[in-house]
Amino acid sequence: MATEQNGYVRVAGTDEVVDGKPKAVKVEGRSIALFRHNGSIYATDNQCPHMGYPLTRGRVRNGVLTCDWHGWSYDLGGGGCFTGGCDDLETFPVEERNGGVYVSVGDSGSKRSDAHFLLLKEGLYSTDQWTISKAVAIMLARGVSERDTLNLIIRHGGRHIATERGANDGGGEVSDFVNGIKVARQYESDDRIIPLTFAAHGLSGRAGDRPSIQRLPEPVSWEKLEGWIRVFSKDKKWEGIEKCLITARRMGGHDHEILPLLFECAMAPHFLGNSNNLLNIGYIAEVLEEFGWDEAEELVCNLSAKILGQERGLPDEIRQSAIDRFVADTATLDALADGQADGSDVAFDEDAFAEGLVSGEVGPTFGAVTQALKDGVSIDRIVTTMVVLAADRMARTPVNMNPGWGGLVREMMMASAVRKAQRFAGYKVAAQALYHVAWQFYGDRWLNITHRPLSESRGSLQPGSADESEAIESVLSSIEKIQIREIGRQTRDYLRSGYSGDALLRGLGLVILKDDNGRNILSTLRTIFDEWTLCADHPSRNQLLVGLARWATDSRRATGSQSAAATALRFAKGQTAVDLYEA
Amino acid sequence: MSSSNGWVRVGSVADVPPGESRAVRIGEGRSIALFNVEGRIHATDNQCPHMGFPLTRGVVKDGILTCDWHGRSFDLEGGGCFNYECDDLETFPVDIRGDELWVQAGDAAYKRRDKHLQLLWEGLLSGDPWTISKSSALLLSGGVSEHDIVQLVLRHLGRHVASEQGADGGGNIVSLLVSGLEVGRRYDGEDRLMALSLAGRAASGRASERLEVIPLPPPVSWEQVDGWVRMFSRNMQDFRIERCLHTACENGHEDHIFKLLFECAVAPYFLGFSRNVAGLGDLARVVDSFGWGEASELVCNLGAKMVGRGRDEPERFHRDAVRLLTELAPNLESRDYAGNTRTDYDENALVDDLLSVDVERSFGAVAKALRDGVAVERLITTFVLLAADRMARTPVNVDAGWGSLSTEFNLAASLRHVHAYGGPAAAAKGLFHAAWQIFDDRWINIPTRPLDQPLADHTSDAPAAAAASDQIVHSIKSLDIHHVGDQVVGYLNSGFDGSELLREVGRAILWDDTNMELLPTLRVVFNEWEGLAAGGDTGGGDERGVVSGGDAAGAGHPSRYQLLVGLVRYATDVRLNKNSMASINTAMRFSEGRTTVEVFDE
Repeated sequence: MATEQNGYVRVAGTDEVVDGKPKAVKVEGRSIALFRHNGSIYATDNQCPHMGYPLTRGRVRNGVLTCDWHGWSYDLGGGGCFTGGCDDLETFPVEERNGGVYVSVGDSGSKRSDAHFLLLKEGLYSTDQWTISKAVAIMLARGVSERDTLNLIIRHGGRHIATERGANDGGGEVSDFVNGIKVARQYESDDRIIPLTFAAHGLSGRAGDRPSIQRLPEPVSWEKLEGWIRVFSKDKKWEGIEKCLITARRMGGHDHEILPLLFECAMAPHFLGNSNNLLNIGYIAEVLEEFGWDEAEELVCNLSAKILGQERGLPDEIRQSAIDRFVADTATLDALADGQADGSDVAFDEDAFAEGLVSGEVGPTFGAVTQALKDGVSIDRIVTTMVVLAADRMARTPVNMNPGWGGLVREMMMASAVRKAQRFAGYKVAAQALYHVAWQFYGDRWLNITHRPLSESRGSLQPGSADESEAIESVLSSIEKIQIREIGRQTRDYLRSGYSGDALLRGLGLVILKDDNGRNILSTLRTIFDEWTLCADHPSRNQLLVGLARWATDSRRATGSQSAAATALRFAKGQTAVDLYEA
Repeated sequence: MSSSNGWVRVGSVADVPPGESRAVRIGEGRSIALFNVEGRIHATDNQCPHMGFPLTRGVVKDGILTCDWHGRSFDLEGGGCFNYECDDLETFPVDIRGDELWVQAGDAAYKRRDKHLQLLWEGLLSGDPWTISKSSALLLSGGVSEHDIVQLVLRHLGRHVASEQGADGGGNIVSLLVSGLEVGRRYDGEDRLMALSLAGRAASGRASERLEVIPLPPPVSWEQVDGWVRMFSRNMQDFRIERCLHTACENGHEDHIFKLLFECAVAPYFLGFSRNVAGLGDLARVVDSFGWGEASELVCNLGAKMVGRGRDEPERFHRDAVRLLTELAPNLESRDYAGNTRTDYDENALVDDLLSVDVERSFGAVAKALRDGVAVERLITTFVLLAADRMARTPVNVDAGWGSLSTEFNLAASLRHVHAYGGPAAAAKGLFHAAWQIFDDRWINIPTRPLDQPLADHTSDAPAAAAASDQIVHSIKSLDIHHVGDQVVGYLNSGFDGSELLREVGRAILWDDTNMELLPTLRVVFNEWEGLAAGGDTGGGDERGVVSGGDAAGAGHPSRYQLLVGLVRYATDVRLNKNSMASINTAMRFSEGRTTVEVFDE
């Protein structure tokens, strides 16, 4: 198959391509389909741009080529797709001479350079899982800029949430987006497709038209805007908050003051019992950190306005008394400072603190937090204790009734989010946030988990399986087979054998991501990736992995519908159904 | 009491005690609100930008002025509004000179065009009738042209239809839009605003982003597009048609598009989908008036949805009719209609056949008239007047069938658009669709009457045209269905001006809650009454080139009075009279600055 100087390659004899009998040929490793239709000869890519089926098996009618599998149709001459929005078929110049058919594969040029972004947009509008995974797979396989891809998603997400979502469902979608990106960073190459698809899918959905929000006319000052945002947050008037945020952005010079204000309002006493605020404002902060105001403005201003200005039910008597206690306990926070500033050696009776937190009484629960703060214990240390306590509860919650996974993972994620509150909004707001976490522990008092001192390590080092990967395999296989009674013990045995746990965590993550329940576990998985490092010195840190493994096992669905990701990867690399059929 | 730069003395400091507010009037009666907040005086427009309530009655807290009526809130100092779908509040500099209070009220020049266009867009997206009426009123009183306003509406509508509407929903909207605009041009002031607001309200609704439709990669010829659209129309593949149409626009073939769409719409298998024909006619009118620019998304998307719509397997009568028309079609297509110029023909015989409840006879009669060389325009007039006559005489004791009859009427009239934009062959085929519609309405109990039979010859008992017209409008409003028809005939027999009556009747229709339902019929009656005026005087109407005046269309036809009789009976019988259209008056008053401020503060 010699290439001529003009790029044409002889691929078949003229009489080998007849009407009604398309022929597949290989040129430079690619499968090319040849058709004869109304006397003329046509050459196209043989892989259907939709899902990779061989087009030589399709039908041609009136110059329209229709794939047998899902009926996608193309202009046989120009390659234009009549079915999808952006999946044009590559067509090639073809000539008949000297009894042979000659094709020039190098010079097609019919594919648009922005095809990947069009495909991604189409997936974002339609929420179609296949389209989104295909776009992500193409990004990974063909070196499309990840930054540009994510920017497109975040802008789409801003419009989508502004026109279609409220505070909590919108927050949940941003959670998928942020956590998908963060989890993907723990993996390399093909393993990233599922978390990145979760990220893109999270922010997918209709995006309505809306006029841009105009800033308030002069004269306004940051001090006024700040005051009004607080007023509107109390009064549940989110449109006013959005307007103030946009105005602050347009005025310039106050971007750095916005996040602390958002955290402060979201952690106000009247929001006690709203466990979403801390998580969602935390995700918004991370979006800003990653993408900056220019890309994320619409999403941040609209969603945080909706969060801060959301409707609230009137508290019942128990919650009202907790709010009163919260207000009283935090009144003295101004006088305190983070213990870390004066060195972290302050005495901290972690076991007493944990006991107070799960006492099932508001007084001791909040009291434990107040005492630790007064003692000068650093926020980070308190958070570590809360995270490990939550993990320990996950590692030991009985599965004979409702194990309460929803509440338990919330304890852990909220505690972890307090670190963000401190990083973005400072000590005082982070200290307030601790009471919101404490309220979550109090709210989970119905769970039948016996208390255990965290400082006790769980068993001593015992030599186990000599081969780490074998040990990991056995844990993962128990998850896949839903061996909930075995999984905790197996995980502990693995850890007691002295392995670091890093490899197990990554393995656990993959098994979780590939399960149909992966999306629900995504945010917890991300938290555990973070906390596994941050809690490195804690004697009970292993409970993070034990808890995760137990939850993943108990909530597993295993219907295997994530296999689209694998197909998408094959597609993006050109290894598709063509090979299966035409081999 | 005024000085240079627009500074005006509005009173003394003592007039506005701390914590209180006062309204003062300046210039041409404009009301200004003064607020004394912690010793500082603020001046703002007193009319709430939302609905005109006096803001002196509002509450100030934390520097936020909140209106009592619907709770819209404003920055007291800068005037910024904190709510969606509301304009900012105008605020004015205040100066204290001794104990005198001075305010600098700006000039009255209109500066808010862009803001009001945005407000209109917000209203179109939310569907809030008040926002739509108010912004339209403000734009019109600010001298913004109807053309500019309509461009915005079309841009929105293209998106709305593409993301939210099917063929029938979209067709209905476009019909109301065109009807509102065309009827609006026949009025001014509040009546015009009402018609335009109806058009705007019809065009309102959510709109979402979608993937832009990309032209098919070259090479694609018009012949390919033409062949593919016809194939995809047969195969009910609307999405594919849209990409083809878009490609045609991109390649500069816009001018061929409507002819192709009309030819698809009158295909035999679309018998029974008469709304396609009317809907495409309305789309063609939109493009004719406003160009392809902002209309192209709407036309490509909705046109594709219409001719690519799904169809059910036809039932027995329907199947026979489709077969009949399929047999006739080649002959209809190949005919040279230049020879069809006859205007004298046995119209009564054709009407008898159309009403025979026998599709074969009905289609046969239409085919024969075409073979005999009768002008297509003349035949359209027969269909229009037949439908009007049926509306003028349908009994109201059971179900009068207004929905069906107005469909017959509007479909027949829309064939004039098919003729103008799709050619005589397509219009000729369209006649069979109109004939099928009459067959479909066979359940309505209307006795046959020859169209050339004179109507009753009584005259009006009112002394003058105005009184006679008042009498008719009164009958409409008092739901006097049994006399109103005769009154119209009497009015016309007295030689009073029918156009004048039509305007009054139209006004009564516009201000009733049934206006949306009647609007398309009202528009057609306006056009047909003008086109069929005696002596071929078309009065320079808007439909030039569509209704060709003179004998070809049957001008001066003895049954043309039935256009008015039918409309008036329809309007009377369905009337609701709840008067919920009062917000248009408010919008008009609002745009003139005459608002509830006067009602409360005079």
